[in-house]
Amino acid sequence: MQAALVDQARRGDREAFDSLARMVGDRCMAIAVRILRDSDLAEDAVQASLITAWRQLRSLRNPELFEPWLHRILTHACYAEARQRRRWADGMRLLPAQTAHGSDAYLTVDDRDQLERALRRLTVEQRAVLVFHHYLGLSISEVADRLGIPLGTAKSRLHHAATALRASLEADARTPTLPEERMA
Amino acid sequence: MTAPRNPDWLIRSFLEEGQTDLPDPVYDQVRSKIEHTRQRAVIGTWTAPDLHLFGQLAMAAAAVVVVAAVAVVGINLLPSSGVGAGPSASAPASASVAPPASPSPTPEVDPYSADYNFGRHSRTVDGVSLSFAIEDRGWEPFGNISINKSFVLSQGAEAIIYWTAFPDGASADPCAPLLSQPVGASAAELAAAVAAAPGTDLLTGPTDLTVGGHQATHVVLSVREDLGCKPGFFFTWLEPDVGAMWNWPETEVGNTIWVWIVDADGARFFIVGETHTNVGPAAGQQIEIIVDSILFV
Repeated sequence: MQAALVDQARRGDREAFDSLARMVGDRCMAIAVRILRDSDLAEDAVQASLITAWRQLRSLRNPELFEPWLHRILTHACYAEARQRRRWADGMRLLPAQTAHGSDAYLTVDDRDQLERALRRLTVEQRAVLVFHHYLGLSISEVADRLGIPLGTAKSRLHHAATALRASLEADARTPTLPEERMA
Repeated sequence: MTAPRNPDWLIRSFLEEGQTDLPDPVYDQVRSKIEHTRQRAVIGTWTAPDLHLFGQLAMAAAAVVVVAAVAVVGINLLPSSGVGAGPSASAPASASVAPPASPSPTPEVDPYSADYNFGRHSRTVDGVSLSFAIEDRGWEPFGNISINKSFVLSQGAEAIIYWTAFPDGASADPCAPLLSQPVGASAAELAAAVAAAPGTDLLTGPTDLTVGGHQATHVVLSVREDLGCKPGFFFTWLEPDVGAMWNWPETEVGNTIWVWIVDADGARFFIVGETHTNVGPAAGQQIEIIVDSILFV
């Protein structure tokens, strides 16, 4: 189904591309918002990546690989958004603290605060590896392939990111965060 | 019953939280934007069925290339109007040094990435046999028509080198309304015409140098304006009904075009490198390195 739409879209069918975008858009948004930690930036990145995908679609060799191909475009769009907007240091709003399935009993508000802060201290490239590995569930070699980076680089980024996040959780256990520190 | 506080589990749980829906207005904006956005034609019809068809298409394309090539020699390709034509006595920007003789070809491509392996590779283009060296990662072949490299997007092909021979005596009709004056038969005349191509700014040349030990003339252009050549390419020709030529790289304003016209034992061999604006100078440097490495067999 998706490959057929890709094939139609490659021939210039805008309706087909629209359907394709609606098929993959939510997943792209989920990835982007987790990499960028900001909904507005994520929307911009997804929009930019979909337009780029439309423009470059004829270069896609295998329609079956549309989504991985799009994810790489999306990741680069996230990098660009992160670097262009520079909203990290000030005024960034945190994602709403929604509750994931079954996690509420163990992922405390303080955990979330500490993880959010730790994530924001990572580079956007490290966050990307983390998201593709821990959120999408890709193996580290799949992450490297998806992002177009050497395996060693992917491992290094993941190691650094995971270490930083684990350290933040350990710090959380030692130093409670005041409720008023939480950003709106 | 409680689960242990496993950090990785907590990280995964945290990443599961948050927005997962792309708002409708974004879809609407994308739809609106693509209504006015042309798909970029790039090298290759990459799907397996298309690759299966490629043999037929390549034959058709090759025929068009040969026909079109002749147009450059004799008829209607490039007018003398335009910027800064005329041979230059200035030093070559990238004067070639003949590479060492007797190179031994290496295996063509990496089976996983489809990129060229490092080393020397051979091909025959319109009856002209040549080899060239690949020293940078990421260059990949596309039949005999071209080689290309994606610098920005995974398959963007933002830099390419394509080549053709120019037998005399045939004709074509490339971008005919714009390219009206006949071009002489010599490499110098062809280079002068290229240097004066409408819609471009001449950056360097025409410059005499050697490619693979053969005399050549080199010109570098920047695309200043889109003159509406159908199907939108600068050094390409009629869009055949078979549809093969749409996958030539589209020329856009700001692109840089390197041209080498080589006297290959009496035949003019035409080499074009082109880079898009979204790649840095490394792309052009890599093109020059590859062309400098060419040997004619």
